[in-house]
Amino acid sequence: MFRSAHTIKGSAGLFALDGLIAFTHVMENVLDRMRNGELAIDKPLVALLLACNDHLRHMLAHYRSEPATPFPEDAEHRRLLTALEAHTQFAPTAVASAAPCPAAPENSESGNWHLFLRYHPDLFQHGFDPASFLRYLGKHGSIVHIHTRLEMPATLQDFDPTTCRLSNELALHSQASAADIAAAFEFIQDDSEIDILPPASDYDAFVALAARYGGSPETHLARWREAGYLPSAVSTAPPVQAPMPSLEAAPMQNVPQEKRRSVDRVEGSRFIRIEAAKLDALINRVGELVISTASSRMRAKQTADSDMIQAVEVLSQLVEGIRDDALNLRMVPISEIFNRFPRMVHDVSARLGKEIELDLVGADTEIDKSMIEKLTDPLMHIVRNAIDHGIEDAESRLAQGKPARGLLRLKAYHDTGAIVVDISDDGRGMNKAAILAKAQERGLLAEGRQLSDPEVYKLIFLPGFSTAEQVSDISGRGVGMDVVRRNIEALRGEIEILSTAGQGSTLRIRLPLTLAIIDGFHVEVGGSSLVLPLDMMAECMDMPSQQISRETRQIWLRDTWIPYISLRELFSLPPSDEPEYVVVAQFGQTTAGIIVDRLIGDIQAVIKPLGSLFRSLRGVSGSTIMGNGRLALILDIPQLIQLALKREDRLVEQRQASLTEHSIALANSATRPI
Amino acid sequence: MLVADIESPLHIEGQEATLTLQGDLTIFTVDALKDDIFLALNCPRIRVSLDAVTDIDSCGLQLLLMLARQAQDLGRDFALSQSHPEVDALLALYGLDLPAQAAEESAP
Amino acid sequence: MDKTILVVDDSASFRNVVSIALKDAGYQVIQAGDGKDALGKLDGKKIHLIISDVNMPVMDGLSFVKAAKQLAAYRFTPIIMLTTEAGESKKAEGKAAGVRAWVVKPFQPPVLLDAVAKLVQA
Repeated sequence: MFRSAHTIKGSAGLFALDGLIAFTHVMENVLDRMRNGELAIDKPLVALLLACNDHLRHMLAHYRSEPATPFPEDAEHRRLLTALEAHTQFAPTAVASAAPCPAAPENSESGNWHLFLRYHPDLFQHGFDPASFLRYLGKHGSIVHIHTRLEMPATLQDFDPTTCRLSNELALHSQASAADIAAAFEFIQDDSEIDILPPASDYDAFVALAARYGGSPETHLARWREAGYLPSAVSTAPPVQAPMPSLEAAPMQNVPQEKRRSVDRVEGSRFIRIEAAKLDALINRVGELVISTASSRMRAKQTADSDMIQAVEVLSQLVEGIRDDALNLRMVPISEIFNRFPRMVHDVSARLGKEIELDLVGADTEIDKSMIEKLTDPLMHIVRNAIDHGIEDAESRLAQGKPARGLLRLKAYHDTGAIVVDISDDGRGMNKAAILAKAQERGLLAEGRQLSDPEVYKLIFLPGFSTAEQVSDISGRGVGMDVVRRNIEALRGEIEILSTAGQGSTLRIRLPLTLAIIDGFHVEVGGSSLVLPLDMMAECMDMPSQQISRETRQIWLRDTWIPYISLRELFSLPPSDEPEYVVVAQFGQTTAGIIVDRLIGDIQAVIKPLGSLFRSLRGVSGSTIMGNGRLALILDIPQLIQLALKREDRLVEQRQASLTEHSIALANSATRPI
Repeated sequence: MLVADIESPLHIEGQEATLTLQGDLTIFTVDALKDDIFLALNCPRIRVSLDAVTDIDSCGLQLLLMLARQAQDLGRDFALSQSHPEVDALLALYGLDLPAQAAEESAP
Repeated sequence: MDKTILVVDDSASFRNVVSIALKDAGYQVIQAGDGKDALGKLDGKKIHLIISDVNMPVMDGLSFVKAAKQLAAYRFTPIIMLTTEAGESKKAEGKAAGVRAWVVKPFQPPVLLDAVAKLVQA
């Protein structure tokens, strides 16, 4: 009826039948209030509406015969208008009155439509406003509950404020058809994700939707439960009543073709969604399986039963395969991060007036899902820096004989048990002198210390190097490179900088393949078990008795001196009286020896994080349970190597200083007058 | 008016940042406003006046919501000192609410 | 504040019919007879919605829309394109230009009003 009144009014408007418009407008308002439940329907009101209906008929008849003359507004006309207007206080002149009321007890969960609106990022840019659709929905009923979500950008520095980051979930009380409700979104349904569940949808429909929602389905279900969207346990439709998957059966039947396609796209693809927690549980379980297989293997060896040993050997190979498969489940292509860059590079370079070509290499390189989120921010920061400070503007590039367009390359690849991400630009390269000057100014550098190029570049990672930017740090801008380094180190990774003045620089991030299980090497020091990550070990050898400089803690390895670190020293144990061994460890370009008591052999270690008590322990990154049930610490090789390098530097310096002193003393004594 | 005032809406005095938003807060103006708006996050106390806003759309509201959210995440004291009926209506439509300045504060 | 709609069509009678319907629904209406004429009306004043025909003399609808999207003050203004034919290629071209809302013409005025109400409320 509302619709008819509305249509009469609209059509009347088209033909400029003012009398008819004014009358139907008031009528429409009364009907609208009735529909919204603001007006109780009683006998006098029904009588009034019937009278109006008759009157409308008169008016229409009049216009049909004499379209040119206005309808004579007789006593009946005025009576009805006055009566109608009495019912229209606070008449909703626009649908803006669709503001939600937090609770509508009469609309229990089953009586409402539930709409899930995930807007396309470009929605605003296409000229749409979700608020318009929400207001429009008010034509079909009332929004009894609405939840608005805002997805914050990774940083508040370089984001596009015209990107739509909103999404809505709402309960709509409405008598309209599915097609009518879906039609509200006809212009955005191709790009945005619009899901509509009709009243009395069963629990499974919500579960299916949650699964398609991304993230943890449980979180979504919990949120919907709290909002009262989910049917109560009692009303969960028995399968007899809903033999079809309700998602297809009910909500989709009237929804236009395009929507159906997008559903098919999700369901027909080769992917299934798994809750991350389930995957983690599986990986944990596999980790335990790996441990107990190792233990069986040890026992089997002790029995000296060759058949038994053979069988367990096969078993452990299979288990290793399962471990790899399980870990693989968590691997996702790094394109998940890379894909964000074209837009960002475009935006940033446009703002800076630079022309930059972005080259993405190895986007299908796989990386542990849990690293994705933690890697995004540091990468964004490095890329922004490269565009801002690395690549010159077109003029100075041309002056140097470079192409006007700068080149920025993101490259991911696997390299000896690590994932490497290179961020390279063909810009001006790192300014060594400027870095040194700034480091000195900030007091981060001892006077007169000689640094190699990589060491100089590394200064930018020191906390406090970028103090000038700290003012805006808070708002998410100018997070210094020290934060980047911290983020990478938290992933057990490392950053290196390669740079050639005038030709560009490369930041190289090395990350472990996975955070969960490592192939390790079991060693002992002072009767305790320790595990070294195997992928960072170059070789093992007896502690040389010659070719060693104990003062400077250096070993002569083939053609060069490398620093070493004694774990006995590190853990404050007394020196060993038995022959020791050297494990040569390598991380990136650096090498160092690690002195241990005994070499035991390969082991698979499921990494367990250290308790807070041990978190500050130097040189240790985690712990693991051995096949024999004992705890072993996992050594943090990058940290140990760094420690060894630092100590070597200091000791070499001290030694040189004492040698110089010694020779000066000699010289002095030589020149002393006799 | 489609272009934001050239004058910055941000005024910082001591511990307090006051954002006096004027004109349109819409998709056409958010880009020009965002830097100034987020600078306010440097202050422990942030007050936003919407009194002089002439028009707001969801894109403009989104920017305001981002500021409020970030302020909350950083533990800032964030409140609207002057609300605006159109903004209130839009917030209500989305089922949202922004903290309003306590009454005793607004006394001079 | 009243919402302003720019109606672009080469048929004066069509423009009038649409204008009456829109004005009655509470919108302000500006009319233009072709794309070039319409561009002239984009002089900085606030326009909340553009309704444009595709086939017009002097400057057609898509050229007009593309030009309008270049203007800072109108690049995010919502646009409804009116189509006579199914014209998928035109739609694709429009999509590239940023048009997402299409209404098939000839239409019932309430259909257009309904489409308008989804984008801009009077």
